[in-house]
Amino acid sequence: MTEPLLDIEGLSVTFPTPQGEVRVVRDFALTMGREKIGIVGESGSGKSITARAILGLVRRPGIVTSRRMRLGGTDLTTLAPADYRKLRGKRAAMILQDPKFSLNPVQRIGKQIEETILLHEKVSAAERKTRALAMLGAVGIDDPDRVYSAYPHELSGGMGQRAMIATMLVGSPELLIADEPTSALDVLVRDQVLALIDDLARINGFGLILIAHDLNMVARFCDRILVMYRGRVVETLAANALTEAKHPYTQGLVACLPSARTRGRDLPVLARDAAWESADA
Amino acid sequence: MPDAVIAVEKVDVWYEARDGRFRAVTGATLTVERGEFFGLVGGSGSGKSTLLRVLAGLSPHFSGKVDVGGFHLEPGQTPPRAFHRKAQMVFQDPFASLNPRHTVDRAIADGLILHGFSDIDARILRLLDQVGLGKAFRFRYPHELSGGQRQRVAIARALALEPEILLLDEPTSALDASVQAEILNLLAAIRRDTALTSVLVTHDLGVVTHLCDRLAVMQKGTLVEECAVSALEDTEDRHAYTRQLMRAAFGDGQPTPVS
Repeated sequence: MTEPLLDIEGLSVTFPTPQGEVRVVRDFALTMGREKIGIVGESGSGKSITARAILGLVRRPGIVTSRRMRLGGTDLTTLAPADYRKLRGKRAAMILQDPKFSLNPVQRIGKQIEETILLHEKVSAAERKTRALAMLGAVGIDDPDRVYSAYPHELSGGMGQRAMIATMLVGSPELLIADEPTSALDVLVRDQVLALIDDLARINGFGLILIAHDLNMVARFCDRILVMYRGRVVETLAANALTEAKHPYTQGLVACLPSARTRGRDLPVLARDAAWESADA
Repeated sequence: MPDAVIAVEKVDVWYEARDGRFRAVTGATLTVERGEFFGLVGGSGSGKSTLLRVLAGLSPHFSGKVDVGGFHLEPGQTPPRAFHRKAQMVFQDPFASLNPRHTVDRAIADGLILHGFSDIDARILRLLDQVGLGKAFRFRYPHELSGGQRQRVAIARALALEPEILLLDEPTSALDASVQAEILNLLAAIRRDTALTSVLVTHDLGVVTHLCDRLAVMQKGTLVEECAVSALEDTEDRHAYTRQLMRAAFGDGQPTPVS
């Protein structure tokens, strides 16, 4: 039997505060192959910190514990920081929300893409450049030469996000985590960027975790959806079965979206239940 | 005869830039009638917020005719103080639009004092009640409030002056879906209780179809289409850009799923 791409069980993240420990991720589990997984939830539900925990990016004083966390054949629970650095960018990569804040503002786009190659492979400068330009072409940039030597502030939001996707995919990772990759973008550009990620996932065959708060978008895009509420996964369902959601929180998230059908009446408001936070809810 | 509260005719709006003017809105013409909720829709940079700022009297760099709530706005001039009693605005980002050093009480009271209202105490309590916060929130600072609560304060502040016109710039796009639902319900309730006219700027057609009567679609500074919200159902008759926005909002012509 082949090993799953990502296999996580019992992942928790806690932060100490003066009022005691706060568990921001509780008992997260996920086993995925090369598929598209969506994680949805409101602000503060723990989706982003889960992603950071998978990539070993939770900073002190945050504490990550897990019973099992494996990427391919690698045990992540015992991975030394130096080995995690070798893994990030090469085998697992993450796209962040806003290219304005996550690209280096004082470095040209081409250099940022090449940095990924430089850190992980021994190849000549000429080949790095060829690959960076090819990658820019692959993410749908019409004029790779211009963007290669451009600074981030010279690019629009959509172009910047394409450039960030290029820096993340140039190392051909097995797992790509996209944390709200489109929420800083215009509605129409959003669909283009999602279509691009979809195409690249199909062509390059990487597994994808898409983190977003837009339930409909995730449903359209992913194969499976994990719904998080206050650090816990309350429901896992097939993306096309959103209307069959069983958990009242998921149902509430679906029902509270405005549309022509809700015209003239009040939108249902989530009545939060303390029981949702416990394991057996 | 229809009673136009907002009439905009052949309006250009621009920003002064180092290398001349950048025209953000070109030849905009639209009317909004009394009691109507009007949606102004478009992508980033389409000029929708720029046009709204002109309606709020916050941008003097325009040409053309702009009549709002019985006031004729003159290009290049700051509108009189009385104008702001007629038209009030709620901004997108509730984290940026409230002064972090002012309590909720002060945020609401400032406008009331400036416009010479009496019995301010009672008014503030009534407003807090109206927006679903209650008097316990009166002396809190913005950092003690959630995003939805802050947006309620911003709405209370706008309603304090008893305006005829409420201008809303993406009032829910910084909020979670569940909180957005609460704010949209509040706006619907305000609409039932008062005779407000409203212009709502948004990129989300779901919000517009839920709340508005008519809408205009903007693309690259131009109004490309104006129609009743119900007319969105006749997809084939709509402008290509409107159809694109609909696809982005609802998928392939499918409205959002219902529970």
